[in-house]
Amino acid sequence: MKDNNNEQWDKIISSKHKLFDLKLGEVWDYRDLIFLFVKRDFVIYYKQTILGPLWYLIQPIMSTIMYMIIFGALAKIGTDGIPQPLFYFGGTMLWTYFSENLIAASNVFTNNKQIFGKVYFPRLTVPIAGSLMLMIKLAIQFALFAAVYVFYFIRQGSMDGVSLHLCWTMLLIPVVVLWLAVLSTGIGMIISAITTKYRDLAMMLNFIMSLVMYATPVVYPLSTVHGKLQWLLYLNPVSAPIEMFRVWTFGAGAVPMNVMYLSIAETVLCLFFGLILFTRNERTFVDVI
Amino acid sequence: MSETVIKAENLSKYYRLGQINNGMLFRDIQTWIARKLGKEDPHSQIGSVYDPNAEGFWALKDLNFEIKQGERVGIIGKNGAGKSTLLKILSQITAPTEGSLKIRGRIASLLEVGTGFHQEMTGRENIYLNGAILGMKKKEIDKKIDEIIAFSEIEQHIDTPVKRYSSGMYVRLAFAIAAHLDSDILIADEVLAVGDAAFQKKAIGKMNDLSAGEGRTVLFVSHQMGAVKQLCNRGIVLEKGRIVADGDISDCISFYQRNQIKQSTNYNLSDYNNEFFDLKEFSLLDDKGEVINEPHPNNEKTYVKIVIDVKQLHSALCMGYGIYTKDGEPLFWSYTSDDYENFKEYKKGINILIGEIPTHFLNEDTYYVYFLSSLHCIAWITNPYNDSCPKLKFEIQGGLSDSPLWNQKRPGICAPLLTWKVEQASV
Repeated sequence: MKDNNNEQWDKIISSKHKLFDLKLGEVWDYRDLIFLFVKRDFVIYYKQTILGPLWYLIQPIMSTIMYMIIFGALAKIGTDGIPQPLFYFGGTMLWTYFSENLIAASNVFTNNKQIFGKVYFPRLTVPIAGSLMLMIKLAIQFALFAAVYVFYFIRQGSMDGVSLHLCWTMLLIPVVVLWLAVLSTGIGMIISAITTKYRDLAMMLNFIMSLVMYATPVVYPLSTVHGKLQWLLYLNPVSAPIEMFRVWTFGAGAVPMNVMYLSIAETVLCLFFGLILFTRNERTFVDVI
Repeated sequence: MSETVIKAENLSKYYRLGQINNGMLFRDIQTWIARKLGKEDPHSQIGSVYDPNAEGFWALKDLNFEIKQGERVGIIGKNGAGKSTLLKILSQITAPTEGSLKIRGRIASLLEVGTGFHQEMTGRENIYLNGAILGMKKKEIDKKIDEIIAFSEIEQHIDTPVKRYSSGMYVRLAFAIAAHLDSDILIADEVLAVGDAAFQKKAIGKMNDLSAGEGRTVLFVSHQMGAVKQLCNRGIVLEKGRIVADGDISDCISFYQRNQIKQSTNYNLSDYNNEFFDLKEFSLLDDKGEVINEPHPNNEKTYVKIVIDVKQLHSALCMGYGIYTKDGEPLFWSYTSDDYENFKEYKKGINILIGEIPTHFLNEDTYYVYFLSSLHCIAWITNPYNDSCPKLKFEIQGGLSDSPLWNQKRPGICAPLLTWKVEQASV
């Protein structure tokens, strides 16, 4: 039996690498592993803490209070008629999801070099699991958000200037989350490919992310930005999903159609290049790191 | 003829030495722009990546081999011969630089047991996690979990976080998971050198069951020739990234050992000159003071002679020899200072040291005598741990006893001739 015919081999490890060989089927085979990674990371986060999963809520609550004082009370920046706690809490939970997921994805190789150097499994399972685990955290925060929303909804008659109405577009909230997940994982994977070789970027990433937050409509609505800097927000791919969350949840604010299209195009491109760079990098990064 | 399950074609792996990159993003960008513009790279070093003069080496070069279903292959070679690199490519941790490797069936590698264990999670949770990392599905683990727990012998602690485990329990659990993988091809790297003796025996037994019993293909890397011989039926000897022998395991082991001896006993004494002394002579002598070159009977005395020309005195200077088995296991070390009554401080110039290896002490076998020198508890001068010391081959044959009932080799490392007292009741 001659084996010039490659089809009868289950696996071919070759020096040549096809650019679009993303091995997504293999990732699906390892779905149980993804689930276990999610469970591990979720449980580990609050093991040996007294407050347990409550920790997932404390941080965004503190941020919301801070923003209400600084941007709401002191700087008096408007919120498009959305109650301040809902506005800031919604913005901060989405932004935190985006930025934590991006940083996690960009550190995949450096944080897992031990295990990656010992065993093979599709490396893509790690950023996917990271992203899902942060989604659970986001879901817990969203439950609090929904509770506050219901509170305002019931009490709106007795409060000045609050008008909330339920609309079907609220059902689109998962789309925002998925959008943010794809965008942040894509950017994170691009960065991960660079940081295996140049650690400098990893050092700067936390700082960069905290700066980018101010170039994103997180603590202010998109509608308050006019003039020279507007293009910066329009170019920023995160602007559209975060603002769309408000549009869909409160019916407040608006996102120009072009900005939407631009952000979607940027998201798709980031995912595409992210996947290509990531799969290229996973083949030889052990030799570099 | 059974099926080929692994086929390597011109498999090569190149590693660059030293700094992987220029270290700075800015310089790399300059290099990249220069290349794009067709200019000379401002940071180029002489030679390209594949240039033999460049700083790098081929960890593997043009490996071609086929492994058939059910073969148990021992991969043998010195440190740095390319064994680990080969296993890393086989288990898909890194990609080859050239060539390809074709595999039929599922590969499981036991390269490092316990990889991916999480300290905070219980033994049971870790079985699932580790099993999934090694490629098992949740259902498969469900089916095997009882077997795994039973094999690891830690039933009582299975729901305790592994951070509370002793290292022995940890390793047992890890090995149990890996050994219960459903795979067609099993890659193992020194994993058997874990746990206590009883567990090691169990582990080797399990490996034997998997390979011989269930007909799985096994690739095994170890420095313990005994374990390799026990487990494998075919050998591949690697040397400097190339295959130098491939065939029956016993032939391969003896080929490898012959090569080792040639390399380790072929040396110039002057290679070992250092700032403290020059080594002038290192030899084995018999009773008459003649150099031993042939197998030596066990009832004749043997002396290790060391002649050094001391250039610089140091109070911690220490000389001696160590006797090692042919597999490189140390039997004992002896230093001149051990015989404290007769010990004299070293003097500048020629010092002749003669140590006696007693008769009827070692068994009939081949041994190596290592020359040891160090600054006691400070630093090695000739280090037995990294093979930087001269060695002599020492073969014992015959002369086991005067008794006609003991002239054949018995098992064991020692063959002492001991006294017996026989008391008999008079009739």
